This record gives sequence, structure tokens and C-alpha cells, in this order.
Amino acid sequence: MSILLITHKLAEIMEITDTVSIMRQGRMVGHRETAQTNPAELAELMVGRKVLLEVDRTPAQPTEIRFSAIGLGYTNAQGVVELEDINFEVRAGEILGVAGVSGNGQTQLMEVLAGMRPLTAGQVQILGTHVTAATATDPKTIRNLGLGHIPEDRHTHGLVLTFEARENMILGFHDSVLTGGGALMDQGTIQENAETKMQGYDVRPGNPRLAAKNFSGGNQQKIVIAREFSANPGVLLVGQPTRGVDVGAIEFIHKELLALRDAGCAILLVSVELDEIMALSDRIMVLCDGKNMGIIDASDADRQGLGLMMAGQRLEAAA
Amino acid sequence: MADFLYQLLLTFDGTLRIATPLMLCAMAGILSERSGIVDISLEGKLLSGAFVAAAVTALVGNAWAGLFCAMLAGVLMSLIHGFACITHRGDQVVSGVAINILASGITVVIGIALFRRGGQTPSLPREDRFTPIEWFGVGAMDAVPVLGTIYRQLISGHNLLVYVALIAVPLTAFLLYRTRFGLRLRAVGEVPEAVDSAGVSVAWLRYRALIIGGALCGIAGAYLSIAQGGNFVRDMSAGKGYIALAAVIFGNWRPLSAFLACLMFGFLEAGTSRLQGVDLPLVGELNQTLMLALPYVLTVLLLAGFIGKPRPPAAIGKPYIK
Amino acid sequence: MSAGTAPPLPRWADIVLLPLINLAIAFIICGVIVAILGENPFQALAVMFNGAFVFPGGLGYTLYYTTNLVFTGLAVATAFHAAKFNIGGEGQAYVAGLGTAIVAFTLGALPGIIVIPLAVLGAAALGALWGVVPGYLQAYRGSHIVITTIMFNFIAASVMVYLLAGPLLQPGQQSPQTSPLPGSSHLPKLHELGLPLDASPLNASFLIALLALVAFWVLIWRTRLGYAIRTVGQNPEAAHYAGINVPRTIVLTMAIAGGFAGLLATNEILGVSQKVVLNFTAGYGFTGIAVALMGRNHPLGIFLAALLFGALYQGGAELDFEFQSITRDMVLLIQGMIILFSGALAYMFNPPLARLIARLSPRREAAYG
Repeated sequence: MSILLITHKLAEIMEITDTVSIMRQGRMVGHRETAQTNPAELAELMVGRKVLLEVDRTPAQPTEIRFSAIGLGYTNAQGVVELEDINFEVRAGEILGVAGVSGNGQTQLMEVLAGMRPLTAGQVQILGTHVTAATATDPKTIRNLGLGHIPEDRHTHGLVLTFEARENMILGFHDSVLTGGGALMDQGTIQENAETKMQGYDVRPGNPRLAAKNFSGGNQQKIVIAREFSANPGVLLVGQPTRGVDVGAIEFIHKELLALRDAGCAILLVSVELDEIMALSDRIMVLCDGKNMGIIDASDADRQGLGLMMAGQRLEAAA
Repeated sequence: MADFLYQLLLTFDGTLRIATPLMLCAMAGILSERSGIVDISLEGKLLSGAFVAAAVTALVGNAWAGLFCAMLAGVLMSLIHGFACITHRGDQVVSGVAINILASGITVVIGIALFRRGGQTPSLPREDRFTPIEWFGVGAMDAVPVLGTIYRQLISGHNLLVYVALIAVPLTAFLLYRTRFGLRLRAVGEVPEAVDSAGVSVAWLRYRALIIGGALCGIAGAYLSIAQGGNFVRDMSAGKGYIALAAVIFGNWRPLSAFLACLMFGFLEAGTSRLQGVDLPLVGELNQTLMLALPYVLTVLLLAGFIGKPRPPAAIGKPYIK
Repeated sequence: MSAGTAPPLPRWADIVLLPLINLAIAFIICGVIVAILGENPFQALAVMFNGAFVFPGGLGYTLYYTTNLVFTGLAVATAFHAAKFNIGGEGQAYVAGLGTAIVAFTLGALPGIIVIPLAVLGAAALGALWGVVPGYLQAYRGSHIVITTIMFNFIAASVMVYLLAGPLLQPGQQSPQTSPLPGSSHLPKLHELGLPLDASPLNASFLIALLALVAFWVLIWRTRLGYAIRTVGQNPEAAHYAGINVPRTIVLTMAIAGGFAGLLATNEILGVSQKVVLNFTAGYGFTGIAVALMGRNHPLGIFLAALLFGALYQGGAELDFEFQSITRDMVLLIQGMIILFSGALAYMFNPPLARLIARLSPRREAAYG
């Protein structure tokens, strides 16, 4: 039987295919025998230039605790416990990666921390402010505390696809200075804001009037990232930052993320790509079935140990 | 006591008369909505059916021809709805509104062109209408106290279309729950993808649901203009299609429950008109106009979850895109 | 599907050409029906045009109808921007009649400069109330707003019949209506203001309608609330993510929508009948759906569509005098056809039109990769 596999995951290509064809911008740019090629060459063909797959990263210089959770729990409207007793702390200048098999509470954790779902147990501390089940939480309040949020799914949450890029650049900030201070939203300010950010983050095409749906996945993600990063958040939630994004944009996004870390932001990173978690994080928390399996230093982490924790072994047992 | 019983019987009798078009339209609504198509066009189909039945009967002098053409008219309206919502994936509510306005316009336009009576159709002679059927043995049963009266007033003495409506309810239930078609129909309103991947056409299933519903609405229309009434007057459906829709919701999209809701709405109306001018203990005199709003108020309360929780078909209102 | 293979439609074609084609189809079908009924459709069109624009007073009547339809069109369009279908314009406008009456009867002794603005606000307030309840039930209780607003139309009708035939009935009057409103609440007719116009019911409400169109544009595209409304309409989950209170935005949207619908009462009651009568809304609420759909929820489009329907209403009345077989009821048919083709079948001609344009226009580079 002939099987045609379409993917952007290089590891999958290397593992199970016999021959590989590479497409770039709607054209076939190369054909290879899988055995005769390697991921670096394929990546180069995909983006047309050499890509650094290994992230160039200096050690973190963490300072004070900016973001923490104590005994965090979330029970959904149907009474199902989806998160239980989550404890972590993130310091300024470090990235805490959250690893886990997809669907083990990562989405709920992100949304609870962002105020999109109600916390039902424990407490969260964001830049010195405590949030508990008793204090009303909503995304606006949390955002105003200084928390930025790159949502896991840009199509569902991060963007309004039918809106122009410049309107998306103020999503979540429409009552801030980004729309001018007057009674009406100032179009000049909105346009300028979008132009600056699209240029700064190399969003292509750089047209603020173009609807978000007309940008490629990578450029859509850059719009979200430009918006959230340039607000200079003290704490940042990042979900699947490079899902469905081309290799060139991945490199760019990783660099920006590390730059933000080095500027002193406390970052919580959720990704289903274990390689991404391992490449970017300073410490790694593993979630399984809504519970924290333990937190380890990235330098001590290996795929096998993390894999065991993702499968439900607690750190003590896995070690 | 006997008088009270007689009054009650007359009220039940009135209930049945009022509920008949509601039942037929509600069954049509259930079929359509269970297949995933919002059907606020029940009103327009009912109205078209009423006009065509009266017009055809007036022209050819045969109630059966009128009934048949009324069913065709209902089906035609359904096909327009289907063409817009199924084939072209248009907005189902917009299409429904269009059909309702279209119906209220075209019935009058054609009516005036044909009969020049300001949109009415000529009054039909009794023999051209569906008239009350007296069941066998009514005279003999009269001798039996109570039962005889019930037999004469409630069971016997309705026109054919009332009985058709009463049969339509179990038939719809049978169709939905006991046939392969019904199983697929219910599935297509919940998870059309699953039906599609099983190799069954989503569009054709929905079209069939709409076609059957259109025919039922046509019968309901014929009931209004050539059975209960003797001619067509403009906008004679007067919101009955919407009450039927309310009954569908009230019955949680199930035939038997919707039937009971139709009877309840019918009873409310029949009861209030019978109690006109009567001073009731505790509540005083009922206001008929306000009581007429009760089905709508109850439906609003039900939808808001104050009386139970309705559960509409999952895929309702969403055009199916492969 | 074929829609997937067609190239995207150029903006001008989407905004101008496609709606015109849809409108033309609706008119052609109605023309065919007129022909079948034995009358000349072109002659009918000419009669309607003359009635609407040429005959003395015709334009005034057309603009008077346009005023009503601008209000109800805005009521539907406002809700559409939040992706809510407001079928309740009819009921909202009907109940708003009460607002004018309450203000006029309680404050009628005051001068018009005070009473009129308050009566206008009264109309908007009661219209808003009748929109807020379905909005609240949708936002916080999950009831489907289409069904609820339909039900609210009927509830409004019952309540108004009850009030007009009972507590508010003019003493000694048989038909259900209130006593005439005090003169201070009457809006001036435009032809009475020294404008070079023939006598017609056109009154100062027309100016309110023009203001409403501008206010609508500012609200939707220039205010933060409008941004919130559009975000909720286009992607409620993203709105929640962005910190917009989705349920509250829906309630506010329906309040504004109901308020716009309520302004119809200023035209009909403060401007023309000067008392609340039975069924004064006469289906304008439903025509507002056609207006909003045709006008693509944009104030300019809404004005043009309201003008078109206003002309149809006024021109349609002329049909009664000129023809044997067709009457003003023809307008309902046209209206239904327009809703069908501009609304439910709005994109039927999209793929073929797009292919045609692509074939006719010189080849351009694919814009974005």
C-alpha cells in the first residue's frame, strides 16, 4: 500500500517515510530518499535558508518569585476534577516548562491562570496579588495585574480571524492607551501601533488593514506574540507557541521568548512538543491527569525520565 | 354537576379543534428540527396550505383536490427552505423569515388576482368542505349516561382532518423511533459527520424531513380553510405556526410530549374563551387577551430553564459542510 | 464544494455587484409573477416609481416610511454585529409606544422642548427593555434569542391589546386606542417647517433617523463598546480571552437594538397618529430584517435599503389605484423575495460570479503565501 503523509514534523518524516518531497509556498522544492537526508537539510529546504534547530541559550538568571500557585485546583461545571493540588513558582528571568501528554490538564491550567475559568481551590499569586476562588477572577482583572497570555489556539482565542491585523493588535487592550485616551478609539493610534509592532516582529505582509485570516500560520502567531510581548508583561503564559508554524517562524519565536526571559519576565510555557519544552525551559513541571508529577531542572531532564512522569510516575518514583 | 361535565366536555372539544393544526405543524417542526434544520417557517407553510386548499377547492369544487394541492404547496415552501439552507447553506432563520413573509404576500397577491375579494377566497358550500363525521351508533349511545355524551361530543363528530392529526402523532413517533429512516434522521440532527461518514447523504435526509413536514403543514392549512373554516382570509394562520414551534420546544422535540403541549395550549385557549365573563374564585375574571399570551410566556420560561431544561438537537441551525 | 474552488470575490463585487444581482433576481421573479397575473411588470414598476418619487407628496411619504425602516433596520443590524438575530423589532417598537404615551400624558403640561426629548427617550427606553429581557435570557440563561424574541413579539401584542382595550382605552371609544397625546409632545411635520415640501406625514423623526445612522456608525466602528460587540459577534471565545464581559455585552447590545426599534414610536406616534393605536408597528419590525440584510449591517447600506423599501411601501400603495389584479400586497412578496435572495441565498451567485470576474480580469500575482 502507498501512504502519503503530510506533516511538518521532521522527526516523523525521518522515522517512518521512505522518500520525502518538500513543499515551500505551494511549490515542490525538493525530493529526497529519507535515508539519504537529515532533519537539518529538510528544514533548510522548507525555509530556504539554514535554521538553528538547537536553541542557542544562555543559563537563566532568575531573581524574585513573580508567579506562583499553591494547592491550585479546578473542578468544572459538571463536577469533574480537572486540576488537583498544583504547586509551582516561577521567578523573574526563568521559563518553567509544563510537559505532559496532550489533554492532561494543560489547557485548563492555562485558562485558570489567565482567569478564563474560575479557580475552585487553592490560590495563585501574580506579581504580588493573591487570587483565590473567593476573589472574583476574570481575564481582564488578571491581565491588568501584568499577565500576558499567548493562548494555545490562536484561531479560537488569540485572534479574531475576520478582524484586520490592527484590530487584532488591540485585542485585550482595546480600553488601554493603545486606542488613544479619548472617548472614541483613535484610528491613527491603532494604525501606528499595528505598523510598529508588525515591523518589529517582522509580520508579513506588513499591512495592518489585512484581515487576520489572510496571514499564514506563522505570521498569525507573530501578530499574537507581537501584541502580548510588547505589552511588557511581568508574567507570561505561553501555550503551544509554535504549533502549525513554519520552521523559520519557530526560530524567530524561540529567540524572542528567550529575549523576554532575559529581560526579566517570568514565563510559564506549555507545549506538547517535548523537544520545545526541553530546549527552552529552565525547569520542567510534568502534568498527568491534572496532577503535578514533579518539577525538575531542565539540565537534569532526559526524555526517558520525562516520559515516565508523563505516563503518571511521580518524580520520586521516576528518579 | 351534569352541566359542569357538559361544559368540560365542550371545552375538551374546543381544545381538540384548536390543537389540530398545532399538532400537525408541531410534528412537521419536530421532523425538520430533529434533522438539524431550524423551522420558523411553519407559519408560512401553514398559511400557504390554507390559501391553496381554499383556492383550489373554490375553483374545482373538490375538497380532496384542495387538500392535495395544499400539501403540495407546503412541500414547495419546504423545498425553497431546503434549497436555501441545505443546498446553499444559507442562514436557516433568515430563510424561515423570508418564507413567512413570502407566504403572507403571495397568498394575498394571488388571492386578489384570482377572486378580487381583497385577499379572501369565496365561502365554500358545506358539501365542498371536510365536514364533521358522525360515528356509527351515536344515536344508540345517547341512551348511555355520560359515556354517550362523551362519545357524541368528544370522540365522534369531528372532521376527517382532526383524526388525521391525531394519527400523525403516533406515526411521527413510529417514524422517528422505529424505522431506519428515523434513526438516521435523529442522528443527522446530532452528529451529521457520523451519518455522512456512514455513506448516507446528509442533504437528502434533511430534504426528506422537510418534505414530509411541508405536507403535514399543508394538511394543517387545509384544516383551517376548508374544514374548520369555509374560506381563506388573509393571515389566517395568525401565529399558529409559532405556537406549534413553541409546542415543539415545550415537548423537548419529542412527538408525544409535543402533542401534549399542543393539547395544553389548545386547552388554555378553549378554556379562557369558555370562561369569558365568569368570575373565578381567587383569580377573578380571566383576561382573554392576556391568557392568549400564556403559551408564549410559558415557552420563554421553559427556554430560560425555569421549568425543566430543554435539550435541542446538537447540530440544529448549523449548515453541514463536508 | 464549488465555493472552495472559486477565487475570492473582489471587494467592490462583494459590496456592490453581488447585492445588486440578488436584488435584481428578486425583482425579476416578482416581475414574472406580475406578468403571470396578467399585468405589465414594467408598467407596474413605473407606477410605483412615480408614486414613490414623482407625484406630489410621494417623496415625503417615501421618506416617512424610510424613517420607520431605518429604525427597525438598525435594531436588527446592531444585534447582528454581536451575531444575535433580533426578530423582536416589531414587539420592541410596539411596546415603545407605551413609553411615548407615559411621558406625554404625565408631562404634557410642560413645553415641547422638554416633553419631546423625554418622550423620545421614553420610547427608546421601553424598546430597550423589551430587547434587554431576551438578551438577558440568552446571555445568562442560554435561551435562544431567535425563539425568545419571536415569543416577545406575541407577548407584546397581547399586552398592548390588553392595555389599549382596557386601562389605556380612550373613554367612550370603541376601537382600542389611547386618547390623543397632549399637543406639546407632537413632533413638527417637515412641510410645516417652511421646507419646500408637499404635505406628507414626514416629520422631525426623519432627522432623528439620520442621527441614529451616524450614532450607529460611531458606536460600532469607533467606540470601545462597538469593538466589544463586534468581537463578541465574530469570536465570543476570543472576546472572553480578551477580557470582554461577553454576557454583559450581549445584554447591552440588545438594549441598544431595542432602543433603536423603539424610536419607531416617535415617528408613528409623536410624529403622525399622535395617539397609540392598535398594531401601529404594521410589520415594520420584520421589514427591518430585510433592510439590515440588504444593507449589510452598514449605516449607508441600511439607509439605501430603507429608502428602497420606503419607496416600495409608498409606490405599492399606488398599485391599488392603477391596477385590477395587483395591489400594495405585492410589496410583501417583493420583501419576502429580497430576504430570500439577499439573506438566505446571499452567496448563491458568489462562486460563479467570482469565476467570471477572475476570467475577465488580467492575471494578477497571487497575493499572499
